[in-house]
Amino acid sequence: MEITTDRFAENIRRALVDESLQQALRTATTKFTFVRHLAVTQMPDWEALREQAERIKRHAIGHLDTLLEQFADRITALGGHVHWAPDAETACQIVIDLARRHGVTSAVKAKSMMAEEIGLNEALERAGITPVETDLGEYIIQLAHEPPSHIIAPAIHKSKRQIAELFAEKLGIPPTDDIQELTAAARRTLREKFFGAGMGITGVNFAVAETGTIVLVENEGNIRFSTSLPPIHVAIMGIEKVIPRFADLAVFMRLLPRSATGQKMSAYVSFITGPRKRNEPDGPDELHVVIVDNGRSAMLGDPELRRALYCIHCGACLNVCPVYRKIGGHAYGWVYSGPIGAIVTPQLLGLDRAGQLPFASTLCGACRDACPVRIDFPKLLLALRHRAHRHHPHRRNGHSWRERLAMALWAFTMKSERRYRLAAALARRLQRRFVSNGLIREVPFYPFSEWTKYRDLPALAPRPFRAQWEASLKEQ
Amino acid sequence: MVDERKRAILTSIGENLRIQRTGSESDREGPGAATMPVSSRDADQEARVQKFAEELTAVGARVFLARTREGAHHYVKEVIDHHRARRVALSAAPVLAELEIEALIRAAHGDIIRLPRTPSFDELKEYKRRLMEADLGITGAACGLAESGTLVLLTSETEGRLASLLPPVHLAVLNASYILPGVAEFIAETRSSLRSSDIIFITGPSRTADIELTLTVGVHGPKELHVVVLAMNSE
Ligand code: SF4
Repeated sequence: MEITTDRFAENIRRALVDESLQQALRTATTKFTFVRHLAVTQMPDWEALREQAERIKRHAIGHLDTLLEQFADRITALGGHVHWAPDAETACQIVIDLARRHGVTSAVKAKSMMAEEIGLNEALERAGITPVETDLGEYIIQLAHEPPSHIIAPAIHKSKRQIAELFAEKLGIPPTDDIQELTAAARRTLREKFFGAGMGITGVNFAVAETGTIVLVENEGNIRFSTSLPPIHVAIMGIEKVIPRFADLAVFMRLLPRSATGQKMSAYVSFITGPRKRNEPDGPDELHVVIVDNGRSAMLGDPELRRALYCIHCGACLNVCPVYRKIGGHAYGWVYSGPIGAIVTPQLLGLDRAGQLPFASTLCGACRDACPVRIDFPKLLLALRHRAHRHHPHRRNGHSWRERLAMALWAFTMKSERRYRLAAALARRLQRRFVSNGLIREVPFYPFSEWTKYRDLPALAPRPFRAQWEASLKEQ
Repeated sequence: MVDERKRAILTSIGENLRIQRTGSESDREGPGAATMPVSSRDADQEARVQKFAEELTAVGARVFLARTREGAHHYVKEVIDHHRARRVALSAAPVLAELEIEALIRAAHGDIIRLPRTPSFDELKEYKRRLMEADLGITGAACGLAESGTLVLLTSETEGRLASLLPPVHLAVLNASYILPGVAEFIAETRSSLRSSDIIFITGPSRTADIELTLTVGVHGPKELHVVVLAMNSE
């Protein structure tokens, strides 16, 4: 996919004036947040589960090399094949080579962030192999040639009217507003594709080192199709997907569906341990696992920032994020969006291209509270902001000399109580000209003008809190 | 070359992790062992069956609690008749043989699509083609999970991956005594299930909310899920 992260500000402006996107974001994020809340409040041991999940992930990431080796050995022992890809190009090439060796001309794909990250679809197409997205949302945006906008609901930005037009054009069905019918049309078309495909490509939710088990979680059944119908199953995973023990799944199986969609269990979960056994009636003859680094191992160097790799892609942090809720997924310009995008993308793409993302946060911490693996977002965002500043001491990420001067003055004032009191008294006097009904609506000069351009500023109270407090103490 | 790539990745991981080691040792030695809280076990089996049925019904499946063999037969026959199922995929699960489901299908003049045994490439292809046209898939289930209303299917000689997936209607027969409290218990207790190349958890019919977040069933997998729970061994 085309990366537009370096045009973040422009993307945001476009998203904010897109009325239908705003509507879709409002509905989707509100709904997901609500159902998640319901599911979580019904779980008395929720916090204990999160704590365990974090502990397992910390352990797993801290032992990644040995665990990956163990996992790979298990897969091989089960009769599967393991491929190692240091970067995106190698990963794509591995899949292409596999397809060529087996004479595969079309492959069915089930939602995989990793495939998106490495640009697998484009690479396959260039190699003359047709990739077909099979998750309904992914299929819709593939037909429309658009990138996904949400981890869980990739096509939330499209209305049924738009989808109806799209299907009428691409699938030749009569235009209809009926969602049932639209879904049925996709079902019919994709059935054919599943049947004709020589290869099924999926992501991986969890990879168990102890047993070589690959876990896949879904609602539609397209992952089961992709892993069961074609003769070859290719699973693509980032190095961070590995967890130590089979028993650890007890924790994640209860956390993931609830966090993602508020379900107690997703409609389908598959624990795949090797290709079809000789005595089994069906399933793929070959299982290939592609383990992709693509910049992740470099993230391990910083013990704080590496926590971004704990992510299990539930999407909960997106839905609760006040920034994501306004700007949506496309604005982030790459595969990962929302709070998790703001901490992963700068580390994977580099600060030159994605240095602005960590600043797109109010640091409210809603993401931290929602995250099933307890990633401490505010802490990581601040660490990345520091990095961004160190990285570009001169450019300072677009901060003007005026802003820096204002910040220096602010810091100078705040560092002494006397100066603070003086400044507050001064501000109280000066604000009078601008206050109406307790709000300052417009200040014509910098830096306040920057603020009041978009929003009101609450006026300072006529008497400072300290004065009120001292007075009340005297009264007693 | 493959080994080179492997070494490159593992070395990079190892080196980067070591940078951190000087700072704190905790990540390297962390316990990591998952001691999971297991939901209470003292709930008796009857309550567990109730919970299972409740949860599974809540996600859109139909659950029938069969107290007698005739009851089970009657329900299965109704499903066959209702869908005018002419082509029925039938797994080789022992519980289905015991119930003599095959005779039921024959009585309704249905064609039976059987699981292939160690099929060749072409036989497997032929099986898939026939499955695509099936009206109904009948399988067993290794166990049920009460907490979430989940069926667990284990692939084996007698149970495949596709009979529960391709036909528009899936009917599963489950023994009530195999209903466990939840997924944690299954994972903790059923290590032997790893003999299966695929452990399939099914919780309701196939569903999507990808168009305007409107719930729609039967997007890829079955539109209908029926579960017959056999609870007749009380006497
Ligand atoms: S960072 Fe946490 S909340 Fe966000 S998607 Fe990942 S696991 Fe979910």
